Amino acid sequence: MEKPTVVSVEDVSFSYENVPVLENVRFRVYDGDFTVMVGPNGGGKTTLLKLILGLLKPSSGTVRLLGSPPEKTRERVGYMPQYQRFDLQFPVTVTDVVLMGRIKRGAFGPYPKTDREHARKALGEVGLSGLEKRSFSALSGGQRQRVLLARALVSEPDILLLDEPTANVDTEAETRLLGILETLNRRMTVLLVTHDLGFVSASSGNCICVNRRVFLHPTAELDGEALRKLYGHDIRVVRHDVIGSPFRGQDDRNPGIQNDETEGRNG
Amino acid sequence: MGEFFSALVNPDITFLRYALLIGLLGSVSFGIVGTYVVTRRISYIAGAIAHSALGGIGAGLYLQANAHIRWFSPTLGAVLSALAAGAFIGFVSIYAKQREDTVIGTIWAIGMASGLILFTRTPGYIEPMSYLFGNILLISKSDLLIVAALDIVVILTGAIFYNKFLAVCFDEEFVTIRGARTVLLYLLLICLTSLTVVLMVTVVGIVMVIALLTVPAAVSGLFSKKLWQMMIFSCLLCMVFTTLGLGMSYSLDLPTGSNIILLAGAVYLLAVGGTFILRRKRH
Repeated sequence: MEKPTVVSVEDVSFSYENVPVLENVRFRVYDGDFTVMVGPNGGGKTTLLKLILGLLKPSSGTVRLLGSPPEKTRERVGYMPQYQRFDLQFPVTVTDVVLMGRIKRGAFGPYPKTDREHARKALGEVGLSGLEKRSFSALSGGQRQRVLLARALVSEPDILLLDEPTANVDTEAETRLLGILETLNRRMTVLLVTHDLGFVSASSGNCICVNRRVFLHPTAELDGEALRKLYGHDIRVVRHDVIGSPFRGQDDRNPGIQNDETEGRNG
Repeated sequence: MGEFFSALVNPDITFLRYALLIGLLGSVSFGIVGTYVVTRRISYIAGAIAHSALGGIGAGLYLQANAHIRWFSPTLGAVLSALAAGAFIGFVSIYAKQREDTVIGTIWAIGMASGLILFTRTPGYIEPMSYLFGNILLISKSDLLIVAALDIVVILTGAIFYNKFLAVCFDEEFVTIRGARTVLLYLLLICLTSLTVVLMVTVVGIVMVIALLTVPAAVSGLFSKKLWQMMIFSCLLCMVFTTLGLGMSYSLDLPTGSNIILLAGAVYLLAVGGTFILRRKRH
Protein backbone atom coordinates (compact mmCIF):
# COMPACT_ATOMS: atom_id res chain seq x y z
CA MET A 1 0.00 0.00 0.00
CA GLU A 2 1.46 3.34 -1.00
CA LYS A 3 1.79 6.10 1.59
CA PRO A 4 0.42 9.55 0.77
CA THR A 5 2.87 12.01 -0.77
CA VAL A 6 3.49 15.03 1.46
CA VAL A 7 6.06 16.86 -0.67
CA SER A 8 6.35 16.53 -4.40
CA VAL A 9 8.93 18.41 -6.42
CA GLU A 10 8.50 17.89 -10.19
CA ASP A 11 11.13 19.04 -12.69
CA VAL A 12 11.87 22.16 -10.67
CA SER A 13 14.53 24.62 -11.79
CA PHE A 14 15.43 27.81 -10.00
CA SER A 15 17.89 30.59 -10.67
CA TYR A 16 18.84 33.81 -8.88
CA GLU A 17 19.23 36.47 -11.57
CA ASN A 18 20.29 34.00 -14.27
CA VAL A 19 22.60 32.02 -12.02
CA PRO A 20 21.13 28.51 -11.95
CA VAL A 21 20.84 27.17 -8.42
CA LEU A 22 18.71 24.11 -9.05
CA GLU A 23 18.16 22.23 -12.31
CA ASN A 24 15.41 19.75 -13.09
CA VAL A 25 15.02 18.62 -9.54
CA ARG A 26 12.45 15.92 -8.86
CA PHE A 27 11.76 13.92 -5.75
CA ARG A 28 8.96 13.01 -3.39
CA VAL A 29 8.68 12.73 0.33
CA TYR A 30 6.09 10.36 1.73
CA ASP A 31 4.07 10.50 4.90
CA GLY A 32 6.08 9.39 7.92
CA ASP A 33 9.47 9.60 6.16
CA PHE A 34 12.60 10.83 7.86
CA THR A 35 14.44 12.55 5.02
CA VAL A 36 17.79 14.29 5.16
CA MET A 37 18.85 16.72 2.44
CA VAL A 38 22.58 16.94 2.27
CA GLY A 39 25.02 18.73 0.02
CA PRO A 40 27.84 21.27 -0.07
CA ASN A 41 27.34 24.89 0.97
CA GLY A 42 25.83 26.87 -1.89
CA GLY A 43 24.48 23.65 -3.43
CA GLY A 44 20.88 24.86 -3.18
CA LYS A 45 19.61 23.08 -0.06
CA THR A 46 18.12 26.13 1.62
CA THR A 47 16.72 27.30 -1.73
CA LEU A 48 14.99 23.94 -2.08
CA LEU A 49 13.53 24.32 1.41
CA LYS A 50 12.24 27.79 0.55
CA LEU A 51 10.68 26.46 -2.66
CA ILE A 52 8.91 23.75 -0.66
CA LEU A 53 7.58 26.45 1.69
CA GLY A 54 6.48 28.67 -1.21
CA LEU A 55 8.77 31.50 -0.06
CA LEU A 56 10.38 31.31 -3.51
CA LYS A 57 8.68 30.45 -6.80
CA PRO A 58 10.35 27.96 -9.14
CA SER A 59 11.51 29.27 -12.52
CA SER A 60 9.94 26.13 -13.98
CA GLY A 61 8.34 22.98 -12.68
CA THR A 62 5.88 22.50 -9.83
CA VAL A 63 6.11 22.10 -6.09
CA ARG A 64 3.25 20.55 -4.14
CA LEU A 65 2.99 20.50 -0.39
CA LEU A 66 0.33 18.12 0.96
CA GLY A 67 -1.14 18.03 -2.53
CA SER A 68 -1.59 21.82 -2.95
CA PRO A 69 0.48 24.86 -3.82
CA PRO A 70 2.68 25.51 -0.76
CA GLU A 71 1.13 28.90 0.09
CA LYS A 72 -2.15 27.15 0.82
CA THR A 73 -0.84 24.36 3.01
CA ARG A 74 2.33 25.67 4.62
CA GLU A 75 0.50 26.46 7.86
CA ARG A 76 0.59 22.71 8.48
CA VAL A 77 4.40 22.76 8.38
CA GLY A 78 6.54 23.31 11.44
CA TYR A 79 9.57 25.26 10.22
CA MET A 80 12.80 25.62 12.12
CA PRO A 81 15.25 28.10 10.55
CA GLN A 82 18.93 28.45 11.39
CA TYR A 83 19.30 30.26 14.69
CA GLN A 84 22.41 32.19 13.67
CA ARG A 85 20.36 34.67 11.72
CA PHE A 86 18.61 36.02 14.81
CA ASP A 87 19.43 39.32 16.44
CA LEU A 88 20.71 38.32 19.85
CA GLN A 89 19.88 41.69 21.36
CA PHE A 90 16.21 41.22 20.57
CA PRO A 91 14.23 41.45 23.82
CA VAL A 92 12.18 38.24 23.82
CA THR A 93 11.70 35.42 26.30
CA VAL A 94 11.61 31.73 25.46
CA THR A 95 7.80 31.69 25.76
CA ASP A 96 7.52 34.76 23.47
CA VAL A 97 9.44 32.91 20.77
CA VAL A 98 7.50 29.65 21.08
CA LEU A 99 4.16 31.48 21.01
CA MET A 100 5.00 32.84 17.54
CA GLY A 101 4.20 29.34 16.32
CA ARG A 102 0.56 29.97 17.31
CA ILE A 103 0.15 33.03 15.13
CA LYS A 104 -2.71 32.81 12.67
CA ARG A 105 -4.20 35.10 10.08
CA GLY A 106 -7.02 37.19 11.49
CA ALA A 107 -6.26 36.64 15.18
CA PHE A 108 -5.53 39.87 17.08
CA GLY A 109 -4.82 40.91 20.63
CA PRO A 110 -3.18 38.73 23.29
CA TYR A 111 -2.65 34.98 22.87
CA PRO A 112 -5.47 32.87 24.35
CA LYS A 113 -4.75 30.64 27.33
CA THR A 114 -4.77 27.47 25.23
CA ASP A 115 -1.87 28.84 23.18
CA ARG A 116 0.17 29.27 26.35
CA GLU A 117 -0.61 25.71 27.39
CA HIS A 118 0.52 24.43 24.01
CA ALA A 119 3.72 26.44 24.34
CA ARG A 120 4.40 24.92 27.75
CA LYS A 121 3.80 21.43 26.36
CA ALA A 122 6.06 21.99 23.35
CA LEU A 123 8.86 23.23 25.61
CA GLY A 124 8.47 20.10 27.71
CA GLU A 125 8.72 17.98 24.61
CA VAL A 126 12.11 19.45 23.70
CA GLY A 127 13.32 19.19 27.29
CA LEU A 128 13.27 22.89 28.17
CA SER A 129 10.63 22.96 30.90
CA GLY A 130 11.48 25.55 33.51
CA LEU A 131 13.18 27.93 31.07
CA GLU A 132 9.90 29.56 29.94
CA LYS A 133 10.72 32.98 31.36
CA ARG A 134 14.38 33.03 30.36
CA SER A 135 15.64 35.53 27.86
CA PHE A 136 16.19 33.91 24.43
CA SER A 137 19.59 35.57 24.15
CA ALA A 138 20.76 34.10 27.50
CA LEU A 139 20.52 30.51 26.20
CA SER A 140 23.25 28.34 24.70
CA GLY A 141 23.24 27.58 20.97
CA GLY A 142 21.82 24.11 21.51
CA GLN A 143 19.05 25.44 23.76
CA ARG A 144 18.14 28.12 21.23
CA GLN A 145 17.84 25.44 18.57
CA ARG A 146 15.44 23.53 20.80
CA VAL A 147 13.38 26.69 21.47
CA LEU A 148 13.02 27.11 17.72
CA LEU A 149 12.08 23.43 17.46
CA ALA A 150 9.39 23.99 20.12
CA ARG A 151 8.15 26.98 18.11
CA ALA A 152 7.88 24.71 15.06
CA LEU A 153 6.04 22.05 17.11
CA VAL A 154 3.58 24.28 18.91
CA SER A 155 1.26 24.50 15.90
CA GLU A 156 0.96 20.68 15.89
CA PRO A 157 2.25 20.34 12.34
CA ASP A 158 2.05 17.35 9.98
CA ILE A 159 5.54 17.95 8.63
CA LEU A 160 8.65 19.25 10.33
CA LEU A 161 11.08 21.16 8.13
CA LEU A 162 14.47 21.99 9.62
CA ASP A 163 17.30 24.08 8.17
CA GLU A 164 20.72 23.06 9.51
CA PRO A 165 19.43 22.08 12.95
CA THR A 166 22.89 21.07 14.13
CA ALA A 167 24.95 23.96 12.79
CA ASN A 168 27.28 25.38 15.45
CA VAL A 169 26.14 23.17 18.31
CA ASP A 170 28.31 20.67 20.14
CA THR A 171 28.10 16.89 19.71
CA GLU A 172 26.07 16.40 22.84
CA ALA A 173 23.43 18.90 21.74
CA GLU A 174 23.42 17.28 18.31
CA THR A 175 22.82 13.78 19.69
CA ARG A 176 20.09 15.10 21.92
CA LEU A 177 18.37 16.89 19.04
CA LEU A 178 18.54 13.80 16.88
CA GLY A 179 16.90 11.79 19.68
CA ILE A 180 14.05 14.31 19.90
CA LEU A 181 13.58 14.26 16.11
CA GLU A 182 13.46 10.47 16.05
CA THR A 183 10.72 10.51 18.69
CA LEU A 184 8.80 13.16 16.76
CA ASN A 185 9.12 11.13 13.55
CA ARG A 186 6.75 8.58 15.07
CA ARG A 187 3.91 11.03 14.58
CA MET A 188 5.07 13.38 11.80
CA THR A 189 7.13 13.53 8.63
CA VAL A 190 10.59 15.02 9.16
CA LEU A 191 12.58 16.72 6.42
CA LEU A 192 15.85 18.38 7.31
CA VAL A 193 18.73 20.10 5.60
CA THR A 194 22.30 19.62 6.76
CA HIS A 195 25.84 19.76 5.49
CA ASP A 196 26.85 17.47 8.31
CA LEU A 197 27.49 14.01 6.88
CA GLY A 198 27.91 12.53 10.35
CA PHE A 199 24.34 13.45 11.04
CA VAL A 200 23.23 11.73 7.83
CA SER A 201 24.77 8.42 8.73
CA ALA A 202 23.57 8.61 12.32
CA SER A 203 19.98 9.28 11.38
CA SER A 204 19.55 6.42 8.90
CA GLY A 205 16.58 7.94 7.09
CA ASN A 206 16.33 8.64 3.38
CA CYS A 207 18.87 10.91 1.84
CA ILE A 208 18.43 13.54 -0.84
CA CYS A 209 21.73 14.82 -2.13
CA VAL A 210 21.54 18.37 -3.45
CA ASN A 211 24.19 20.05 -5.52
CA ARG A 212 22.29 21.93 -8.16
CA ARG A 213 20.87 18.57 -9.17
CA VAL A 214 19.34 15.98 -6.92
CA PHE A 215 20.37 12.38 -6.33
CA LEU A 216 18.40 10.05 -4.15
CA HIS A 217 19.67 7.34 -1.88
CA PRO A 218 18.61 5.28 1.04
CA THR A 219 21.27 6.30 3.54
CA ALA A 220 22.84 2.85 3.49
CA GLU A 221 23.77 3.33 -0.15
CA LEU A 222 25.46 6.66 0.41
CA ASP A 223 28.91 5.41 -0.49
CA GLY A 224 32.10 7.02 -1.72
CA GLU A 225 30.92 6.97 -5.32
CA ALA A 226 27.72 8.87 -4.53
CA LEU A 227 29.57 11.43 -2.41
CA ARG A 228 32.15 11.99 -5.13
CA LYS A 229 29.32 12.70 -7.51
CA LEU A 230 27.74 15.09 -5.03
CA TYR A 231 30.77 17.04 -3.88
CA GLY A 232 32.78 16.69 -7.09
CA HIS A 233 35.83 15.30 -5.27
CA ASP A 234 36.76 12.53 -2.88
CA ILE A 235 35.76 12.90 0.71
CA ARG A 236 36.54 10.69 3.61
CA VAL A 237 33.52 8.84 4.91
CA VAL A 238 33.40 7.74 8.50
CA ARG A 239 30.95 4.95 8.91
CA HIS A 240 28.82 4.95 12.05
CA ASP A 241 26.86 1.83 12.59
CA VAL A 242 23.73 2.71 14.44
CA ILE A 243 22.84 0.13 17.01
CA GLY A 244 19.23 -0.21 18.03
CA SER A 245 17.94 2.42 15.64
CA PRO A 246 14.47 3.55 16.67
CA PHE A 247 13.40 3.62 13.04
CA ARG A 248 11.01 1.22 11.51
CA GLY A 249 12.30 -1.05 8.76
CA GLN A 250 13.70 0.87 5.84
CA ASP A 251 12.76 -1.39 2.97
CA ASP A 252 9.02 -0.97 2.97
CA ARG A 253 9.11 2.72 3.83
CA ASN A 254 10.62 4.26 0.77
CA PRO A 255 8.72 3.41 -2.35
CA GLY A 256 9.66 6.82 -3.72
CA ILE A 257 13.37 6.35 -3.48
CA GLN A 258 14.88 5.48 -6.80
CA ASN A 259 18.52 5.35 -7.52
CA ASP A 260 20.76 7.29 -9.80
CA GLU A 261 20.16 5.26 -12.91
CA THR A 262 16.54 6.29 -13.19
CA GLU A 263 16.64 9.65 -11.48
CA GLY A 264 19.98 11.20 -12.19
CA ARG A 265 19.32 11.76 -15.83
CA ASN A 266 21.22 15.00 -15.73
CA GLY A 267 24.13 13.52 -13.87
CA MET B 1 16.90 74.51 37.94
CA GLY B 2 14.82 76.24 40.64
CA GLU B 3 14.32 79.10 38.24
CA PHE B 4 12.95 76.58 35.71
CA PHE B 5 10.38 75.22 38.15
CA SER B 6 9.16 78.65 39.21
CA ALA B 7 8.82 79.57 35.52
CA LEU B 8 6.87 76.35 34.92
CA VAL B 9 4.21 77.27 37.49
CA ASN B 10 4.06 80.93 36.45
CA PRO B 11 0.58 81.34 34.85
CA ASP B 12 1.95 83.97 32.45
CA ILE B 13 4.55 81.71 30.84
CA THR B 14 2.48 79.15 28.94
CA PHE B 15 5.15 78.25 26.36
CA LEU B 16 7.27 76.41 28.91
CA ARG B 17 4.36 74.31 30.15
CA TYR B 18 3.37 73.51 26.57
CA ALA B 19 6.95 72.53 25.75
CA LEU B 20 7.04 70.24 28.77
CA LEU B 21 3.66 68.72 27.89
CA ILE B 22 4.56 68.11 24.27
CA GLY B 23 7.73 66.37 25.40
CA LEU B 24 5.79 64.12 27.79
CA LEU B 25 3.01 63.39 25.28
CA GLY B 26 5.38 62.82 22.39
CA SER B 27 7.44 60.42 24.49
CA VAL B 28 4.59 57.90 24.47
CA SER B 29 4.58 57.59 20.67
CA PHE B 30 8.37 57.86 20.42
CA GLY B 31 8.82 55.05 22.95
CA ILE B 32 6.39 52.61 21.33
CA VAL B 33 7.15 53.28 17.66
CA GLY B 34 10.85 53.73 18.40
CA THR B 35 10.99 50.24 19.92
CA TYR B 36 9.66 48.75 16.68
CA VAL B 37 11.94 50.95 14.57
CA VAL B 38 15.02 49.87 16.51
CA THR B 39 14.22 46.13 16.73
CA ARG B 40 13.11 45.91 13.10
CA ARG B 41 16.18 47.99 12.18
CA ILE B 42 14.40 50.59 10.09
CA SER B 43 15.87 53.75 11.64
CA TYR B 44 17.27 54.64 8.24
CA ILE B 45 13.78 54.39 6.76
CA ALA B 46 12.51 56.65 9.54
CA GLY B 47 15.32 59.11 8.69
CA ALA B 48 14.38 59.17 5.00
CA ILE B 49 10.70 59.65 5.85
CA ALA B 50 11.56 62.54 8.17
CA HIS B 51 13.58 64.28 5.48
CA SER B 52 11.00 63.65 2.79
CA ALA B 53 8.60 65.56 5.03
CA LEU B 54 10.67 68.68 4.37
CA GLY B 55 9.66 68.47 0.70
CA GLY B 56 6.02 68.26 1.72
CA ILE B 57 6.34 71.19 4.10
CA GLY B 58 7.96 73.22 1.29
CA ALA B 59 5.15 72.23 -1.08
CA GLY B 60 2.54 73.33 1.46
CA LEU B 61 4.17 76.73 2.06
CA TYR B 62 4.70 77.27 -1.69
CA LEU B 63 1.13 76.37 -2.68
CA GLN B 64 -0.40 78.46 0.10
CA ALA B 65 1.63 81.55 -0.83
CA ASN B 66 1.87 81.28 -4.62
CA ALA B 67 -1.21 79.34 -5.71
CA HIS B 68 -3.42 80.53 -2.84
CA ILE B 69 -4.54 77.01 -1.98
CA ARG B 70 -5.31 77.78 1.63
CA TRP B 71 -6.25 74.27 2.72
CA PHE B 72 -2.95 72.77 1.59
CA SER B 73 -1.11 73.41 4.84
CA PRO B 74 2.56 72.50 5.39
CA THR B 75 1.39 69.79 7.83
CA LEU B 76 -0.84 68.22 5.17
CA GLY B 77 2.02 68.35 2.68
CA ALA B 78 4.33 66.74 5.20
CA VAL B 79 1.83 63.94 5.97
CA LEU B 80 1.27 63.21 2.27
CA SER B 81 4.95 63.18 1.34
CA ALA B 82 5.89 61.08 4.38
CA LEU B 83 3.20 58.47 3.75
CA ALA B 84 4.16 58.32 0.06
CA ALA B 85 7.86 57.97 0.91
CA GLY B 86 7.05 55.32 3.54
CA ALA B 87 4.88 53.27 1.17
CA PHE B 88 7.45 53.52 -1.61
CA ILE B 89 10.36 52.43 0.59
CA GLY B 90 8.17 49.69 2.06
CA PHE B 91 7.41 48.23 -1.37
CA VAL B 92 11.04 48.46 -2.45
CA SER B 93 12.21 46.68 0.70
CA ILE B 94 9.67 43.90 0.12
CA TYR B 95 10.08 43.40 -3.63
CA ALA B 96 13.60 44.64 -4.43
CA LYS B 97 15.50 44.31 -1.16
CA GLN B 98 18.90 44.69 -2.83
CA ARG B 99 18.06 48.28 -3.85
CA GLU B 100 16.64 49.31 -0.49
CA ASP B 101 19.50 51.40 0.85
CA THR B 102 20.01 53.23 -2.44
CA VAL B 103 16.32 54.13 -2.59
CA ILE B 104 16.39 55.29 1.05
CA GLY B 105 19.40 57.53 0.38
CA THR B 106 17.86 58.99 -2.75
CA ILE B 107 14.52 59.80 -1.12
CA TRP B 108 16.35 61.34 1.82
CA ALA B 109 18.28 63.71 -0.49
CA ILE B 110 15.37 64.51 -2.81
CA GLY B 111 13.15 65.37 0.17
CA MET B 112 15.62 67.89 1.58
CA ALA B 113 16.58 69.42 -1.77
CA SER B 114 13.01 69.90 -2.98
CA GLY B 115 12.06 71.37 0.38
CA LEU B 116 14.85 73.95 0.26
CA ILE B 117 14.09 74.91 -3.37
CA LEU B 118 10.40 75.40 -2.56
CA PHE B 119 11.40 77.52 0.48
CA THR B 120 13.39 79.90 -1.76
CA ARG B 121 10.51 80.16 -4.25
CA THR B 122 8.05 81.11 -1.50
CA PRO B 123 7.73 84.83 -0.76
CA GLY B 124 9.07 85.92 2.62
CA TYR B 125 11.96 84.40 4.49
CA ILE B 126 11.59 80.85 5.76
CA GLU B 127 14.16 79.62 8.20
CA PRO B 128 15.10 76.04 7.22
CA MET B 129 16.79 75.58 10.61
CA SER B 130 13.41 75.80 12.32
CA TYR B 131 12.25 72.74 10.40
CA LEU B 132 15.46 70.84 10.96
CA PHE B 133 15.69 71.46 14.67
CA GLY B 134 12.13 72.60 15.29
CA ASN B 135 11.13 74.97 18.00
CA ILE B 136 9.66 73.27 20.97
CA LEU B 137 9.04 76.66 22.56
CA LEU B 138 6.49 77.62 19.91
CA ILE B 139 3.97 74.87 20.67
CA SER B 140 0.28 75.70 20.37
CA LYS B 141 -2.72 74.04 22.00
CA SER B 142 -3.65 72.37 18.70
CA ASP B 143 -0.17 70.80 18.53
CA LEU B 144 -0.85 69.25 21.93
CA LEU B 145 -4.15 67.84 20.71
CA ILE B 146 -2.55 66.40 17.55
CA VAL B 147 0.15 64.63 19.54
CA ALA B 148 -2.40 63.33 22.07
CA ALA B 149 -4.46 61.92 19.17
CA LEU B 150 -1.31 60.34 17.72
CA ASP B 151 -0.64 58.71 21.09
CA ILE B 152 -4.10 57.14 21.09
CA VAL B 153 -3.61 55.76 17.55
CA VAL B 154 -0.15 54.40 18.38
CA ILE B 155 -1.24 52.79 21.68
CA LEU B 156 -4.30 51.14 20.11
CA THR B 157 -2.45 49.85 17.03
CA GLY B 158 0.48 48.75 19.17
CA ALA B 159 -1.82 46.80 21.53
CA ILE B 160 -3.92 45.13 18.82
CA PHE B 161 -0.96 44.10 16.70
CA TYR B 162 1.57 43.58 19.50
CA ASN B 163 2.09 39.84 18.98
CA LYS B 164 2.24 40.08 15.22
CA PHE B 165 4.55 43.10 15.16
CA LEU B 166 6.81 41.36 17.66
CA ALA B 167 6.93 38.23 15.49
CA VAL B 168 7.45 40.20 12.28
CA CYS B 169 10.32 42.14 13.83
CA PHE B 170 11.89 38.93 15.13
CA ASP B 171 11.41 36.57 12.18
CA GLU B 172 9.30 37.77 9.28
CA GLU B 173 9.75 34.62 7.19
CA PHE B 174 8.33 32.42 9.92
CA VAL B 175 5.25 34.62 10.28
CA THR B 176 4.67 34.37 6.52
CA ILE B 177 4.70 30.58 6.79
CA ARG B 178 2.21 30.78 9.65
CA GLY B 179 -0.20 32.37 7.17
CA ALA B 180 -0.27 35.93 8.54
CA ARG B 181 -0.15 38.79 6.02
CA THR B 182 3.37 39.95 6.66
CA VAL B 183 3.45 42.39 3.74
CA LEU B 184 0.44 44.24 5.14
CA LEU B 185 1.86 44.10 8.68
CA TYR B 186 5.17 45.53 7.52
CA LEU B 187 3.45 48.30 5.57
CA LEU B 188 1.26 49.07 8.57
CA LEU B 189 4.37 49.35 10.72
CA ILE B 190 5.95 51.72 8.18
CA CYS B 191 2.74 53.79 8.04
CA LEU B 192 2.65 54.05 11.83
CA THR B 193 6.30 55.13 11.75
CA SER B 194 5.60 57.68 8.98
CA LEU B 195 2.66 59.14 10.88
CA THR B 196 4.66 59.49 14.11
CA VAL B 197 7.67 60.91 12.32
CA VAL B 198 5.76 63.47 10.30
CA LEU B 199 3.48 64.76 13.05
CA MET B 200 6.42 65.13 15.38
CA VAL B 201 8.58 66.72 12.65
CA THR B 202 6.15 69.59 12.30
CA VAL B 203 6.29 70.04 16.08
CA VAL B 204 9.87 69.39 17.16
CA GLY B 205 11.91 69.20 13.93
CA ILE B 206 13.59 66.49 11.90
CA VAL B 207 16.75 65.92 13.90
CA MET B 208 14.97 65.66 17.25
CA VAL B 209 12.51 63.14 15.79
CA ILE B 210 15.33 60.88 14.67
CA ALA B 211 17.10 61.23 18.01
CA LEU B 212 14.04 60.59 20.17
CA LEU B 213 12.79 57.74 18.01
CA THR B 214 16.01 55.76 18.16
CA VAL B 215 18.05 56.73 21.23
CA PRO B 216 15.61 55.91 24.08
CA ALA B 217 14.73 52.59 22.44
CA ALA B 218 18.37 51.73 21.77
CA VAL B 219 19.31 52.42 25.40
CA SER B 220 16.31 50.48 26.75
CA GLY B 221 17.12 47.58 24.44
CA LEU B 222 20.38 47.11 26.33
CA PHE B 223 18.61 45.95 29.49
CA SER B 224 15.03 44.95 28.51
CA LYS B 225 13.95 41.32 28.59
CA LYS B 226 10.67 41.74 26.79
CA LEU B 227 9.50 44.00 23.99
CA TRP B 228 6.77 45.70 26.06
CA GLN B 229 9.30 46.42 28.80
CA MET B 230 11.51 48.04 26.18
CA MET B 231 8.54 50.20 25.14
CA ILE B 232 7.83 51.36 28.69
CA PHE B 233 11.50 52.06 29.46
CA SER B 234 11.81 53.96 26.17
CA CYS B 235 8.80 56.13 26.97
CA LEU B 236 10.14 56.92 30.43
CA LEU B 237 13.64 57.61 29.16
CA CYS B 238 12.28 59.86 26.44
CA MET B 239 10.30 61.80 29.07
CA VAL B 240 13.47 62.22 31.13
CA PHE B 241 15.44 63.46 28.09
CA THR B 242 12.86 66.03 27.03
CA THR B 243 12.15 67.31 30.55
CA LEU B 244 15.76 67.45 31.67
CA GLY B 245 16.84 68.89 28.30
CA LEU B 246 14.19 71.59 28.52
CA GLY B 247 15.20 72.48 32.08
CA MET B 248 18.88 72.62 31.19
CA SER B 249 18.31 74.74 28.11
CA TYR B 250 16.20 77.16 30.14
CA SER B 251 18.77 77.48 32.91
CA LEU B 252 21.82 77.58 30.62
CA ASP B 253 20.14 79.57 27.84
CA LEU B 254 20.87 76.98 25.12
CA PRO B 255 18.72 76.02 22.09
CA THR B 256 16.20 73.50 23.48
CA GLY B 257 16.04 71.01 20.62
CA SER B 258 19.80 70.65 20.24
CA ASN B 259 20.18 70.42 24.00
CA ILE B 260 17.71 67.53 24.25
CA ILE B 261 19.42 65.76 21.34
CA LEU B 262 22.89 66.14 22.85
CA LEU B 263 21.65 64.89 26.21
CA ALA B 264 20.09 61.80 24.57
CA GLY B 265 23.17 61.20 22.45
CA ALA B 266 25.52 61.43 25.44
CA VAL B 267 23.43 58.97 27.46
CA TYR B 268 23.41 56.57 24.49
CA LEU B 269 27.17 56.64 24.05
CA LEU B 270 27.72 56.19 27.80
CA ALA B 271 25.26 53.29 27.95
CA VAL B 272 26.75 51.50 24.94
CA GLY B 273 30.31 52.10 26.16
CA GLY B 274 29.39 50.98 29.69
CA THR B 275 27.77 47.76 28.45
CA PHE B 276 30.75 47.02 26.25
CA ILE B 277 33.21 47.40 29.12
CA LEU B 278 31.00 45.36 31.49
CA ARG B 279 30.77 42.50 28.96
CA ARG B 280 34.53 42.49 28.41
CA LYS B 281 35.17 42.35 32.14
CA ARG B 282 32.84 39.41 32.53
CA HIS B 283 34.65 37.35 29.88
